[in-house]
Amino acid sequence: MKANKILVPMVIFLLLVILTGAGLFIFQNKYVRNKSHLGTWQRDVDMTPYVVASMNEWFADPTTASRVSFGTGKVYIKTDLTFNDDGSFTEKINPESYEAAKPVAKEIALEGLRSFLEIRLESAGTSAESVGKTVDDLIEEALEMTAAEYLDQKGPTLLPSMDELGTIYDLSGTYEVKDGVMKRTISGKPICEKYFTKDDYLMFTGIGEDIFEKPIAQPMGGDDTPLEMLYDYPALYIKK
Amino acid sequence: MKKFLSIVISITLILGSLNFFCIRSYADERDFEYLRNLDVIVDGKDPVNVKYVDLNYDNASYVSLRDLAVALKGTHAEYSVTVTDSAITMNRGGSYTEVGGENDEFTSLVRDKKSPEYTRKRNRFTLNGAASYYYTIIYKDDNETNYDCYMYLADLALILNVDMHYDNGALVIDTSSPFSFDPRRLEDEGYFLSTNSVLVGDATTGEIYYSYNPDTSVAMASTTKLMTFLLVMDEIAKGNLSLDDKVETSANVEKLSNSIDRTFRIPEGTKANIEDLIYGMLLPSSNECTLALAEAVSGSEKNFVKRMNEKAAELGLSEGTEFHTCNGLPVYTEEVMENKVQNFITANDMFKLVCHIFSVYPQITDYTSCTTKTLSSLGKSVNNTNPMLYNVPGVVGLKTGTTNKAGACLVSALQADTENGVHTVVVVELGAEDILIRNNVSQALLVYGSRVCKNGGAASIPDYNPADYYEPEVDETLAALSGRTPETADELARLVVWTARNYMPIPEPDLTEVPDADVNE
Repeated sequence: MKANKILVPMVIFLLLVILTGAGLFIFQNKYVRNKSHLGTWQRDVDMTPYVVASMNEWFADPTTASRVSFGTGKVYIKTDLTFNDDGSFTEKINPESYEAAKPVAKEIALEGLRSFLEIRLESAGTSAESVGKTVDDLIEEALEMTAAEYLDQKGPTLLPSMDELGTIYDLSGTYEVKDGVMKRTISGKPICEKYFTKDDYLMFTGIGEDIFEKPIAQPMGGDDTPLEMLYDYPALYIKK
Repeated sequence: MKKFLSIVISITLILGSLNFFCIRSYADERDFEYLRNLDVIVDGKDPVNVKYVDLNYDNASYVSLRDLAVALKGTHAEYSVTVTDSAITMNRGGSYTEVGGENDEFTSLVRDKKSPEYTRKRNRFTLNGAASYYYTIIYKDDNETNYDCYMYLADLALILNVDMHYDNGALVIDTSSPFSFDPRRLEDEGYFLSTNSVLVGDATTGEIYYSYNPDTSVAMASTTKLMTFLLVMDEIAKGNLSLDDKVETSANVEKLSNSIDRTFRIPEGTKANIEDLIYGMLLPSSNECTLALAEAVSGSEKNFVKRMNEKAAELGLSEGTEFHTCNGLPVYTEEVMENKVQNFITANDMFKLVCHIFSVYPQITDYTSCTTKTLSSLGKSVNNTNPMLYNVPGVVGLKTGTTNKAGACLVSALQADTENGVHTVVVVELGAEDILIRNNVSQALLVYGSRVCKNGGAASIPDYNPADYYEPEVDETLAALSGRTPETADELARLVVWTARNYMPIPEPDLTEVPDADVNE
C-alpha cells in the first residue's frame, strides 16, 4: 500500500515526461524544423559558358575557335532566394554580383582573344614571342588602343542583360514544405523538390513526390501541369 | 516450245545489244575534253587564237600544232607540220602551209569514225626526220577534211626551245630567248609533286646539279637491272663468264616467260648467248633474260640477290637501298600473312650506282643507246623502251622501270660536249604518276642538265632567290583597314599578323625531310 503511493506517481511522472518529450519532438519536426528554410539564401550561377559562346560566335572561325583556350577563370552571378513566413518566396538576380561579374567576364574574353590571335599568328608562320612582343603589344601597336578598349568598342556582348537573366532566374510564388519536400507554385505551375537544410546551407537535391493535399477547388482556367525542373540538381544555396 | 525459245533468244539479243551500246558509250566518255581558246602573243605582235584542249583537268593543256604553226610563222621558231589520222610529221625551221580552219575558235569536237576514242596515244611523231616518242591527240577539224594534232604544251616548249609563259591568261612567246627554267623554282611551284624523287648530275665529276627528295627510299622497278648489269660485268671481268658464252635456260626462266610479267617466251633448255641476254635485259626490259643472267652468275636468283645487297654495301649505298629480286619484279614473302616486297633505292644511291657503272663499264651505252637489236640466239628482235633516246639528242641510255608501286621510273644518260671533253649527264627519275609525267620531267631535266654541264657545271648555276619570282601578296583587307578600326575578329587577326611580320621577313618553307618511318609502302 505504501509502495503504490510512491510507484503510481512515479509512473505517471515518467509517462508525462515521455509524452512531453514525444510531443516536443513531433512539434519540432512538424513546425520548428520546417522553418529552417525561412530567410534569404544565395546561389552562384556560372556565366562562363555565356562568355565563351559569345566570343566564339564573334570569332566566326570554327576551326580556330575549337583550339582557343579561355584559361581556367570562371565568372559567376548570384541569385537571392527568400522564403517568407507567409508561404511566399521570391528569387532575384543580385545586382551587385552582376556588376562585379562584368570585369571578370572581360578578363576571360581577353584570354580567349589572346589565344585566338596566337593561333592566327602561328598559322601565318610567326608568333608574338618570335618578334619579342606579346599579343597585347601587337594589338596596341596595330590599333593604338589596348585589347580591353578594343573589346569594349568592337567586341561582342559578353553577358546577357539583367532583364534577359531575369526572365530565366527571377522567380516568385508560394511554397509549402513537408517531410523534406518543398512544393513551390510559380505562376500557377507546381514543382515538388526534395530539399534539406544544414547549418548555413540549403540544398535542393532533385524532384520529389507530390505528397501534399490537393485543394478542393481547382483554380478556373489554370494550367497546373508541373514544372519539369528549376535547376541542374543539386542546387546549393548559402545563407545570406 | 519453239515459240518460247525464239522469244527467249530475241530478248537475249536485244538485252545484249543494249549492253554493248552502254559499254561503248562508257568507253566514249572515258576522257573529258574541255575545248578552250587561247590568246597567243608572239614577239609582242597582236594576239592570235590557238585552240587547245584541257584533257580531264584544267591546265592539262594540249595545243593545236597547226594553229601555233601559223602564229610562229616567219620567226626563227617556225615549223611545218602535217597530220594524218595516226601520224604527225614536224620539221623545225620549215614553213607551214595553211590548210584552212587555223586559228578559228573552238566550238565543237568532231569525232573521227576511224578513231572514235579521243584518248592520248603514242601516235607516230617524226621530228626533223627522226622518230620521236610523244603522246598526242589527233582530232579532225570542224570541216571534217583535215586532221590536227594537239600536243602537251610542256612537251612543245622543250621541242621549240623558245621562251613562253602565261601572262594574264595569254600565252606570251619570245622567240629571241630560249626556253629556260630553274628546277628549284619548278619545285616551289609544285612541278615535282607528281613524282617521288629526281636527281640530275654529272656522272663524270660526281656533281649533283639538282635533286628532289634524293634520300627518300622508293620502289625502283626495272631500273634494278642496272645493278644486275653491273654484277654480270663484274663476273665477266673476273673471267668467270664471257659475252660469247651460251647458257642453258632453266625451267624457272620458262615459267617466268609464260607469266603475266613476260616480255617474250624462252623455253627451258634454250641456249642463250650472254650478250643477247644483256640486250634483252636492257632494251625491252625482259625479266626472263634477267633471270637467266642471274642464274648464270650465281646459280640461283636467291644467291644473286644476296650478291646484289653485298655489292650495294660495298658501294656505300644507304640503308634505303635493298634488293629482293634480280629484275625489279615484286615478290611475296614466305609467311602465312605474306608481304609483297619490292626493290627499293634512293635517287642519291641510284646516282652513285650509275656513276660507278660509268667509271668501270662505260660500254654500257653500247647496249643502252641501241634503239633496236636482233637477238639471234633467242630468235627475237627487240626495241628500246627508253623514250628519251628518241626525244633528246645526245641521250645514250639508260633504263626504264614501271610497277604499280614504283610508278614510272627512268634513269637517263646524255653525253654533253664541254670545254673539258665529253661529260655524261645523268637524270634519275623515280616514281612518276604516269609515263607522260615521267617523260616530261626526265626530258626537262636532261635539257637543264645539259645546259648546266656545257656552261661549266654546278659552279655555273646561279643563286636562287624565291623572292625574285614572287611578289608579296597585297593584302587588300589591310589596305582597306588603314585608318579604321577592324570591325571583326578576322580583320583584327590579319592586322595583328601584318604588324608581327613587320618585325621579321616571311619565314622560308619548312624543308624538314620526311623520316623513313613516314614513307608510304
